[in-house]
Amino acid sequence: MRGLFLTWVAVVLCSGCVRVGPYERGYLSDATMQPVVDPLEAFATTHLHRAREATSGGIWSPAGGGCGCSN
Amino acid sequence: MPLTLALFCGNAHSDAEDSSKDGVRVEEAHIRFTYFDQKGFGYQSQAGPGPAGSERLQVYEPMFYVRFRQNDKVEHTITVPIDIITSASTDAIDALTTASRHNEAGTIMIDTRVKATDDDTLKFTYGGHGEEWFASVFGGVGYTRDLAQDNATITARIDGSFDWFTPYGPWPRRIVPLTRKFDFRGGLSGSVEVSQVLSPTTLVKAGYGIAWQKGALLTPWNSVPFLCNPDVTECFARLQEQFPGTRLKQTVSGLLAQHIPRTSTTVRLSYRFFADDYDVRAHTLLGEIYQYVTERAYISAHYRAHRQTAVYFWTTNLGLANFDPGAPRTSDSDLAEFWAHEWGAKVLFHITPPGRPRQHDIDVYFNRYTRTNNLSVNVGSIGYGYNF
Repeated sequence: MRGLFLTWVAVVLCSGCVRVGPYERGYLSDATMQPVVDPLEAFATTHLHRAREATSGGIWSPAGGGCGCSN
Repeated sequence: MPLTLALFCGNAHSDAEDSSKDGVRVEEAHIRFTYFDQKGFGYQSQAGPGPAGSERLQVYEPMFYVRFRQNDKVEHTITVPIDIITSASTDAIDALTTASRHNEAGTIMIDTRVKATDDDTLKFTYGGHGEEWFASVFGGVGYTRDLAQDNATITARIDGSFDWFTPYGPWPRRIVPLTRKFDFRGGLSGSVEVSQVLSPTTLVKAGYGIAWQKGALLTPWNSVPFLCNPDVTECFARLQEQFPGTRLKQTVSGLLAQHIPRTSTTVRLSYRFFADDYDVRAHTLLGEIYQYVTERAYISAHYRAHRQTAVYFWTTNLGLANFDPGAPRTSDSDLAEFWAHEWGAKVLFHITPPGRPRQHDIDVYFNRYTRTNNLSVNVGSIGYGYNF
C-alpha cells in the first residue's frame, strides 16, 4: 500500500511543473472543482458510509467518535 | 523527490491581500434536511423476526453550517448536525420501556483556519458529540503549505477523539461493569495529503491516513447467535459481541477532477483503499458528473462501488468447538463481507446569478444505497445556502 501511495503521489507531483496563473483559475474556482463540493452533503454522505461500512477513520476523518458503532 | 520537483516549479509565492477588515463578518450559511430510510436484516440484531433481526431504521437529520470571518487571516466554520433516530434493533436492549427506540444525537464541529503567512495555513478542528448513552469530544490540527504559486499544496493533520459510555440498560448485562460507572475509548489519526493543479481545468489529489483506536470498540446493543442449528433458525442463546482492545487502520486515496469548458461539465473520479489489523480490506470507487444546464443550475449524478472483506472474528453462528469466552466475536452486518452500490442524483439552482453578492442556492438530492448482505437505504435531502 505504501508503494501504491508513493506511486500516486509521484504521478501527481511529477505530472509537469504546470504554472496556472491567478487569471486562469476561473474554472478551478468553480464549486464543482472543489475538494468538497457541498460540506453538509458531504457530511451526510460520509455519515451514511461510516455507520454502514467497516472502513471509517484514517484520512479526512478522525478515528472513532461520533458514532455508536464499532466501525 | 516529488516534493523537490514541486519546489522546483517555482518559488512559493502568492499574492497577499493587504486590506484589513475589522469585526466579525458572516460570509456563508447553509441549512440542510436529510432523511434516511433503512431496511434490512442482520444477525447482530434481536429485533426479529428470526435470528437475522431487523435493521429497520429511520433518521431525520437537520444540519446547520455557518462560516464567518474574524479578520483577514482568521475564519471559522461551525457545523451542527442533529440526528433523530428511530430504530428497531436498539429496542431489544430496553424491551420493557422502549426508551431506546428513539435516540437523539447532536454534534457540534468547529473549524478555525488561520492564514499564518501567504503560503502557510493552520486549521484547528474541535467539537463534541452527545447522544442517549455516550458522548464524545474530538480535536485536531492541520498544516497546509502552498507551493509553486498555489499550484500545489501539501497538508498534514493529526486528530484525536475520546468517547465515554454511560451504563446502559439491564439487558443482557450492563455494558459497563458494575464496578465502574463509565467505559471509554479513544483514537488518534494522522494524514498527509498533496494536491496538484495539472491545467486550468484539472486538479488531482492524493492522500494517506493512519488511525489507531483503543478501548471499548464494540457496539453495546449488538449480539452474536450462540449454539444455533445449521440454518440458524433456532439458537440456544445470544452473547454480547466482543472486540480486541485496539484497532489500527490505514487508508490511501486519490481524486481527479476535470472540468470540460466546451460542455460546462465537471467529471470527478475518486478511489480509496482501506486496510486494518482486523483483516478488513476494502476498495471504494466513486464517479461523479456535474452538468451545468444553464449558468444558474446544474444537475449531477454519481455512482459508488464499495467492496470489503469481513473482520476475522465475524460469525453468524458461534459454536462450542474451540469456544473461547474471551475471544473477539461479532455478527455485525456492517463488518461482514459485501459489495455496496450507491447511485444518486442532485439538482442545484442558484436563485440569484452566481458571482453576485447575497447569492441564494437551493438543491435537492436523492441517493439509493444497497448492500449485497440485505441492507438498503434511501436518502432524500433538501438544502439551502446563502452567501453574504
